[in-house]
Amino acid sequence: MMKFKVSGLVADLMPNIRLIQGSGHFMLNYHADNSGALHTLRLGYCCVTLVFMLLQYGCNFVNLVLERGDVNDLAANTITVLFFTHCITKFVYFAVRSKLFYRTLGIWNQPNSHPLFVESNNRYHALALKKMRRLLYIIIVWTSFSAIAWTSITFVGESVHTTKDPENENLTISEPIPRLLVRAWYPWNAMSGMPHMLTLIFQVYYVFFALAHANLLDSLFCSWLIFACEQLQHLKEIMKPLMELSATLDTYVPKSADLFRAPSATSQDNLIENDYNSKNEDLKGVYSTRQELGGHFRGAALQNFGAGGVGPNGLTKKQELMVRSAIKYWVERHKHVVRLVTAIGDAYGVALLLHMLTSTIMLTLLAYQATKITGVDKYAATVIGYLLFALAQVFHFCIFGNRLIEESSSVMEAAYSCHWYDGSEEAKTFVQIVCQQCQKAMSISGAKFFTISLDLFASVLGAVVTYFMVLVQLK
Amino acid sequence: MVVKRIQAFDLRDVFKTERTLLSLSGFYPQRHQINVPFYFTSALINVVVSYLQLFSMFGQMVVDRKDLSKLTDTLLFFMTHFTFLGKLTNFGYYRQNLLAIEDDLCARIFYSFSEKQLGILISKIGSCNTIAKIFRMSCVLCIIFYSVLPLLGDEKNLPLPGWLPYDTDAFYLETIIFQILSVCVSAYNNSSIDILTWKLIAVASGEMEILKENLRDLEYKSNGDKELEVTKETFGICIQQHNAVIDLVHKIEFVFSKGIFMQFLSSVIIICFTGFQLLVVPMASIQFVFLVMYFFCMMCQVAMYCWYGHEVMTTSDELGKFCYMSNWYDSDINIRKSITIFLEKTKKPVVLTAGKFVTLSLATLTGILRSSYSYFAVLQHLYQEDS
Repeated sequence: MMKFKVSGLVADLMPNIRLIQGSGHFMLNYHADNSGALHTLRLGYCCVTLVFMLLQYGCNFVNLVLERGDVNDLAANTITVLFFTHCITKFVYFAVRSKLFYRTLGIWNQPNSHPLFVESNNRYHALALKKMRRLLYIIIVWTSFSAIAWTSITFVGESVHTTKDPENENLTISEPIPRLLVRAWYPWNAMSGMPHMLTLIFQVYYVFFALAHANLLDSLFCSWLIFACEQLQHLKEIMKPLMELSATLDTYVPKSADLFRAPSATSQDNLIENDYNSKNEDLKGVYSTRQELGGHFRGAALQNFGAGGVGPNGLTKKQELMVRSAIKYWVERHKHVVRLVTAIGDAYGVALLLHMLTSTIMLTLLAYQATKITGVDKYAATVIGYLLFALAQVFHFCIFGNRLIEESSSVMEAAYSCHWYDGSEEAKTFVQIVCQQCQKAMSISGAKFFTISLDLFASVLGAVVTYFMVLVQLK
Repeated sequence: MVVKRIQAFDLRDVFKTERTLLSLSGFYPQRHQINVPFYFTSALINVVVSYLQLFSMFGQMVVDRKDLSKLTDTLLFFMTHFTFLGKLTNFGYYRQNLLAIEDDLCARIFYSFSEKQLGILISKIGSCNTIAKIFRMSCVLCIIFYSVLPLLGDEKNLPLPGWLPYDTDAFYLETIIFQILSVCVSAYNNSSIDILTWKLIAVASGEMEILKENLRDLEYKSNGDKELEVTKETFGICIQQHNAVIDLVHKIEFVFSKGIFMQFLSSVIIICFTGFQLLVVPMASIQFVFLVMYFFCMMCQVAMYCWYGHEVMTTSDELGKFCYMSNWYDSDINIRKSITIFLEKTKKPVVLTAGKFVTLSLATLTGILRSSYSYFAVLQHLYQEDS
């Protein structure tokens, strides 16, 4: 049997993957032992989870249809059904498109490397890992807290609903209903005793697992984005040393002594440091050649690196190859990040579109429900709870999508801010093509309909507030 | 479409069906002047029938102008018919350019693909064919429902609302035949023009996909002058292909743009009115089913224009990215400068516009649906006030 070895993104995201598998998603890869019996067992677990989810969802839906007479109940039940629609959608979406997820997880299995930039690469990789773990903890805490809050609020207040008085058509009386987390229809009487206990436990399981399904997938998506952003940071950082290296590829090597009349070629750095610190107040508004052209001095110093070596560049062939390979590493790594982001978009774009569709309708209804809040009671708490949860979910992926856009468009700034004017023709054309490519920011789109950014979140929030204001006025 | 060898593939065969259909109705331009009387008569019949139906419906609208639900009923079909005549006029006016497009599609530059890339092109055109079949099927179903509707009623109802200067009961059969004929003419020509446009746009976006692959797989590393010359020439061919595709898209836009603009304008109104009719008509009736089918046809029409336009836009947007994905860093300085000029051009995506006013994309589709819904809400409010 082959030894199970994980690498790349799978190794980094192992806790996420294990939690996703534990919650019943159809992720059947990434196990050390994938023999027939265990595989069937895991598949069975996933199918059982699916059946339970769908059954409970069906009960919710039947209840919605039965209670459609009363407008208030209809609105409340629609919100609940939509909320769990979104969770079920994510579950089914993953089951159907799991191949794309596996492809994205496997994309970083063989990254390239270069001896000059290993340290930087490792540092940003560790940073990404730290951020991904932190995100996972936050998600776990948030999901558990929501589930516990939901369970505890069930035991507060009366468990009743209003129906028409059978004697008098115009009056409404309150009729007791089972004290459960979610209003649902069951073929058995769940008012009290053993059936009530069992139904309650089943509902707690249902709520917790539904929340976990949705939030874990979202956190997987955001972890991918964190990784991509840290890779872009790494690329930005190594741009400067790369340009300084390729400045050595200049075909014309000017004699710095003739150009700048510096007193000493070797002690440039010391002079500059002392000058800057001591004559700080004198330098205001005074043009000092040495201060202005400090960088050039360093460049000149590098140019004398291989003094007395072979070739017109003042560099040995080996050094020239090293520089060319550094450029190749940079471009190939950037291309790899572009491929990763494309794969992420392909895997998760449609899920985000569906999420936004259900969220929009749900938030509209929640705005309507919010106008009916009369005081600080159970109703207000549940409405505000739903509202905050839905908005937090949207905010969760919008903020990371926005960061990706910002990072990818700032690569151009990094390219410009290094000493590109020192570089050779080859380096300059390299910077030119990189700048052109990075003008257009990399972004995740919801199946080409909209881009995931903080603008999206702002428009959603704005729409909810607008609906709320308008509906309050109409009351 | 089974293609045995690459050499057997001809881009002009993509829209062979539509060319035949439109030639039969006399609107497709003919290269050789044979059978001129036949085409002329056919076109004349089509045009006369359509205009008669248009005037008849206009008369009905004038008669019904006080009653909102009857007015919307007539207005619905009037708008469709009016748009159809607009598109037909536009097509007739610019039809000679179609021959120029056909000549362009014979150019060797469009055939620089490998077996695998031919597969991509064929699958793209295949999906367009499937959509065309579905669209045609629903049009045919609509026509059947049109014809069946009046025969099921007790009174002598006409399938289409229309004002005629004689007593319809006396010449019932002839009137029915006339109206069904006009509907057939309208659906036949309208769907053929639409499908022809979609197929041409699909060919353009297919060629751009091939260009993307060629750019990505281009080998820039060259050892010596001879290999450098080969690389330069290959890159030059890619640029020529890019120019040829852009040219093709501009030609397509020139021919069809005004018609598409009319289609968009009236689609807003048509979708709104169909939705309104769906409210008014009782649910369990043949007329309701017919209206659902009609609604589907109208949505399909406008959605497909937006979809294919969007595809061209997104494919041309990705050209720069695919050029970047090659091993350009291995290239010579000369070619690298050419690459930068090419990348500058790819920054601006190739868009198809409707009358230079609105671009064909999914964003436009959402805009159209949103406007339709607002007008629908207003109409519903008015209707509730009336009744």
